[in-house]
Amino acid sequence: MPTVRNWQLGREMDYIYDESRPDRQVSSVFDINKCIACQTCTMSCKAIWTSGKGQEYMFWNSVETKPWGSYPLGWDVKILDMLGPQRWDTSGPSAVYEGKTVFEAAPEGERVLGYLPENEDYANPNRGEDETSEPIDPSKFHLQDLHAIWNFYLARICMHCTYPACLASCPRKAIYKRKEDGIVLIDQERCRGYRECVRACPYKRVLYNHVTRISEKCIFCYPAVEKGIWPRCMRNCIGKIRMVGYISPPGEADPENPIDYLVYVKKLALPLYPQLGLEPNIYYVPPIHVPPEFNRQMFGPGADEAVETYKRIRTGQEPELRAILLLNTSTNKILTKFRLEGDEAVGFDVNGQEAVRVMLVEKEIVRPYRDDTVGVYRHNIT
Amino acid sequence: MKAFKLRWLVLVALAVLSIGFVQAGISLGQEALFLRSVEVEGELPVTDPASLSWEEANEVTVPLSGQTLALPNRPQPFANSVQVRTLHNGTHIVFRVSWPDATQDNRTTGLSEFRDATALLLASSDLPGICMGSRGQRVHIVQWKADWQADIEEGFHDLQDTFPNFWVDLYPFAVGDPPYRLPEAFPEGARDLLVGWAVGNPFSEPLKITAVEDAVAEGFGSITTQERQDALGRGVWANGRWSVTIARQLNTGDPQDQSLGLGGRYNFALAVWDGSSGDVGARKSVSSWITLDIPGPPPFAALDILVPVVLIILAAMAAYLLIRSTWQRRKRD
Ligand code: SF4
Ligand code: SF4
Repeated sequence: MPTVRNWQLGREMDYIYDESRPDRQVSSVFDINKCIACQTCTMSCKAIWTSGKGQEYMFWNSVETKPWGSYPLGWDVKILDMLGPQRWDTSGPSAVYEGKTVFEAAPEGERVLGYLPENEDYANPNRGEDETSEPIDPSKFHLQDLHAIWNFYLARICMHCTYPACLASCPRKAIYKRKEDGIVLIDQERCRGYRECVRACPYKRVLYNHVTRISEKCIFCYPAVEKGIWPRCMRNCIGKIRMVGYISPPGEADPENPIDYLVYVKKLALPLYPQLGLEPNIYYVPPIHVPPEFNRQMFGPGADEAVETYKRIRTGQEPELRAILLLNTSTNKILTKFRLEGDEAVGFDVNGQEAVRVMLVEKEIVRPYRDDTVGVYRHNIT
Repeated sequence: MKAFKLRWLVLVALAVLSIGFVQAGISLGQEALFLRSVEVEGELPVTDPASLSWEEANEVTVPLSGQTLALPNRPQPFANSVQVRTLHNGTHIVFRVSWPDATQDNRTTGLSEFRDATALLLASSDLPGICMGSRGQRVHIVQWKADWQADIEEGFHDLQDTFPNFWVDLYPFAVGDPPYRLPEAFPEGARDLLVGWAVGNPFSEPLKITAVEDAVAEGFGSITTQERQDALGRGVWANGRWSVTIARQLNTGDPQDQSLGLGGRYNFALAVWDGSSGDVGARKSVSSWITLDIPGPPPFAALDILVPVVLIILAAMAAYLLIRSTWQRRKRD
């Protein structure tokens, strides 16, 4: 089996095909701290792509309340359980994963370690919404039962992985990764409904259409991306948690590229379950109010540091990071570069043109209570 | 010099003898499997696996093994063997494959529902016996599918047939009322969200015309439905057994099909899928290559006899020369 480099693991790993990175790789960063679980992303995707017959319980975008929620049911605990406890070596300058990936742990005669969910596993996409977990500060609360008091919302789409398990598992190569942008697609003419991909994708982002009897998945709104515009779930995000761009190949980080800056330079944005070995291309700013062990299991050994970095942004110590977060709340264009100019942040689109300019700190103007020119009192003076 | 000549003679004799044996259907070391299509007059039992006409065909028991050449595997076969018979009437050929299966799996609407199926592989006899063919070496595949047949016989198995309590008020552009059945509620413009159907994927087509897919392959993972569909068939599941017929014209006129002819000899193999074991695609039980004979009228029949006879005469001559030279040598010594 060929060996490929997975930078998220800090090592080489086995994969069914040779390493073949696309010319450009679309990527996105989701800031979990800002998600309000409004499901606008879910519904905006559903409205355009999955409102057909056979797609009733198919969500290419879903938002689950962690730790209890999951779509399909238990997707993450099941695959983690199948993989068993694994270790990271964190003694060196960067962590190295010592465990097995879903490719390396594949049973005899299989391409990938995986499982096929049941129909019913998709029936409660909102299960656990707003259920809480352990109290963050036990002293303040009376309720101490199973429903503890921390939770967070995990918005998910297909990760358009560098090493997709769906693609690896398809015996007829009906799944392909586009050279021009790294988007992973299922050829709807070649698919014969084997569901190997549904079984193999550990994130369970390939779904079976009950009526066309073949598999379907998120297409990262490639018609929009081809025009330099964000996918629909990203554009419609109410919490403005999402940022879209192209991530450079590992080792070629461009500090002016917003995604590279978040992922490689500041390591604020982390992969979801990197230990599975797919090198997913959707990155997360981990939640800052969650038990660190939980964050580490989900986002790898860099989680603690990312939380600290995020806290620094809030106290104004990371102007570049603040600039990126602000720019991306103010545009729906794919930004390829950003710059700080005095107290302003500027973002540039795929053609290198200025697409957005925002102030790092909004100016505050305080007006007098009474407007003498019209003789009224103001309700809002800032 | 004499020893050299002697060795040469021994080799020639052995070679000729073994060619003769193989030609006559007796391979050295292991028993080769032959499937001979029996000629009958008139109509063939194309859709009737229970027809009395099948009594006329010889039954060949074909051992199965798990598919282990390509990933994913099926390490053990689902059934140890299948029974195969074949008949032809000079223009058409029909096969009957029969195997034990305790469950009838003819739905693929639910995520964990997989179909029972069987496929025949037909290839030219000069092809090396490579499962599923290889690049540039095409095999012709006809696959009968239990769910396709159920769709034809009972009407398209729609969403509500598997999930009766599903209720959806509206699908974009669908016409009529809930539950909006396929295909009638989805005229041309309403199919865009049923992408497999819209792009013409035969697996997504609600109105099927045959339960047997006519396909070609050039190696694992390359199976492709043909433009032209020339095969028919029907399965009957009774008493824990599937009996499935698959029929086609001998010469379909389709260049993508393996053309069959009277007096021809072909490579033939088959595969069986058991839906409730999760069999699908490469997860299947397979036979090794079998020789398919379609006996026909002379001159081919004459040739069939002539070739082994000539070979046996040649072998006898070689043996005679061998014995004579040994005898002469002994005499000289
Ligand atoms: S997340 Fe799953 S479906 Fe998406 S590319 Fe990765 S393996 Fe494939
Ligand atoms: S639209 Fe944005 S804020 Fe709302 S659930 Fe989706 S990701 Fe979260």
